[in-house]
Amino acid sequence: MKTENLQVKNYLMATLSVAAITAIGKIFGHFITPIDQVLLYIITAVIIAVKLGRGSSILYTILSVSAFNFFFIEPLYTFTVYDESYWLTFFVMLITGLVISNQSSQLRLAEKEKVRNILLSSISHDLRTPLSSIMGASTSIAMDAETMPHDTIKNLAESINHEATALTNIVTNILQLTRFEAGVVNLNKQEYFIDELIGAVLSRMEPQLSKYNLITNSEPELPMVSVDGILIEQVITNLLSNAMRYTPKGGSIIIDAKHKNNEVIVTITDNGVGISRGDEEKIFEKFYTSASNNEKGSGLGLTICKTIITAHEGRIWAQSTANGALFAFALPSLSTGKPNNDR
Amino acid sequence: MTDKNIPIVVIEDEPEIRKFLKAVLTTHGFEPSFAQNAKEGLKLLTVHPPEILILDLGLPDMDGLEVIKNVREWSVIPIIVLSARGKEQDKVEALELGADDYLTKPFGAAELLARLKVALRHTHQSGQNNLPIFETDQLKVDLEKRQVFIDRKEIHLTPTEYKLLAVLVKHAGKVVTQSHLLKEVWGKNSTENSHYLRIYTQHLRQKLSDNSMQPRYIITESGVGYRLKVT
Repeated sequence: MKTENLQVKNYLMATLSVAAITAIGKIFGHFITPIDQVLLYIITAVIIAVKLGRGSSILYTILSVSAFNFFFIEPLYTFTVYDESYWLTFFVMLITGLVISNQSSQLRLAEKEKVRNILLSSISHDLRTPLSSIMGASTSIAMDAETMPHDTIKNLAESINHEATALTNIVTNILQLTRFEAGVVNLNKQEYFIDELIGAVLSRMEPQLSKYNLITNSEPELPMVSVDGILIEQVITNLLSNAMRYTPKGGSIIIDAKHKNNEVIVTITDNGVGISRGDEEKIFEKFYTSASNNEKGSGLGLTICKTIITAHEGRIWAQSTANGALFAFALPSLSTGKPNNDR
Repeated sequence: MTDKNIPIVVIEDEPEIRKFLKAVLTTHGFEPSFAQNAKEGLKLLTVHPPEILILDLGLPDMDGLEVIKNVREWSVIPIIVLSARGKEQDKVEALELGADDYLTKPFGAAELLARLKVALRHTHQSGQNNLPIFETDQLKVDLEKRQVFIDRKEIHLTPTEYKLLAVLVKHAGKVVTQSHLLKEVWGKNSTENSHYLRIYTQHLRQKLSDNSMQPRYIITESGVGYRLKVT
C-alpha cells in the first residue's frame, strides 16, 4: 500500500520535472539554444534516475523527448518535424535517458546489497557473540560439573543467563523491525498512564537494574496517553538497556516523566560515555553503534524505538549531557477526564 | 512445601523446555509427569490427577486454548500456561477460559517457582474458608471488616477503590485480566471502559503510597491486566 503510494508520488515528480524544465525553456527561450535545452533535460534525467529510480526516469525520458519535440521543434505545438536531423537528437536523448536510468538503478541495487550485507554481518555478529559465550559456558559445565567448584558453575550459569537475556532482546528487536517493515503491525491502542508502563518495565528489569543507582521522578497528575502498551514498554526497555550498556556499574540512571504542551515526555538520563557530536540523529539509524564504544548492542534497539514512537505520532531524540547522555520521547497526551461514578 | 512431592503434569512439545522443567521441578519438591502433545496430556490428567497443570499454548496436535476448555469441563486444578511474548491476546483468552496464570517464554526458574507457589496457595485456601486477613509487605487488608492498613495505619478508600483492591487481594499473586476487574468492580457492561481502571488504579496506588514507577504492590501487566505482588 505504502510503496504504491510512493511510486505514484515518484511518477508525479517525474512528470512535474518535465513540465518545469519545459517552462524554463519557454520563459527563457531567448537565452537558451535547443542544445542547452536538451542538456537541461538530460541533467534532470540523471537527478531523477538517482533519486527516484528506474520507472520514474524512463517515464521522464519519454515525456521529455515528447515535450522537447512539441514545444521547441518547428512546427511548434505538433509532433511533426520539418528538419529530420532532429530525429537523431530525439533518439540520442532517449537512449541517454534509458542508459542513465538503467545504470543508476543498478547502482541503487548495489547500494541495497551493501546495506543488506552490513545488516547480515551485523546480525550474525550480534547473535554469534552471546551464542559463543552460552556454548562455551554450557559445554564446560556439561563436561566438568563433577570436578568444578560450585562458585565456578554458578558464575558460568549466570553468564549463560546474562547472554541469553541479551539474545532475547536482539531477537525481539529483529522480529519487531521485520514486522514493522512488512507493514503488519497494528497498534492495539489503549489509554495508559505512562508512569504505569515505566513501572511495568522497571519491575521486569529489576534484577539487571539493581547494579545501578536508579532514580525515578514523575510529575503528579500526568494526563493519559493512548498507546499500544506492549510497544511502548519495548521502547522503554530498549532505552533502559541502552543506558545500562553505557553506564558503569553503580552509575546513575534517571527516569523522568512530565507533561508539557499537550505532550507527555519521558526522559532517560544516564551516566555513560555520552554521544559524540553529530551522532544525535545517526544513532537512530539501523545498525549504527557509536564509534566510541566497544560494548555490544545490536544497533537495532534505537531504530525500533524511533519506528514505534513515529507510529504513535510522537517524537524521539537524544543529546549529550555534562556527564552522559539523555534520551527522550514525547507522546501526544489525552485531555484529562475523570469517570464520575464512584458510588 | 510438604514432605510429599507434589504431582504436576506438564504438556509441552519442546524437549529442551521439558528437560529444564524437569530439572527445576524435581529439585523443588514436585513430581512432574510429561506429555508431548495435547492428546497424551489429557490422558495423563485422568490417569494421574495432578495438583497443577503446566500447559504450553503452542502444541502440535491441538490449540492450547481448546485444552483449557476441555480440562475446565471436569476439573478445577490450577492451570499455568506458557506462551510467547507478543501474544498477549492468547494470554488474555487463556485466562478468560479459566487458566490461572501465565509465564512468558523465555522465563527463568525463579519466575516459574513463584507462579507455582501462588497457584498452590490458592488451591489450599479454597478448600477452607478464605483467610479474611491478607498481608504483604506493609499492606494489610481485612476483608471481613473492609479495612485497609499501610504500616499499621488505617487508610480510607472510596467504595470503588476498595472493591478494586479486594478483587486483587482475592487473587493475590495471580494476574487478573482487565475485563475481569472491570466486570467485578463496575459491572458487566463496563468491560470497554479501561480508562476507569487506569484512573482508579492510580488513585489506589497513591493511597497505598505505592510508586507507580517502582510499584511494591500493584504490578501492571500491559495488554493483560494487573497483579497484586505477594512476598
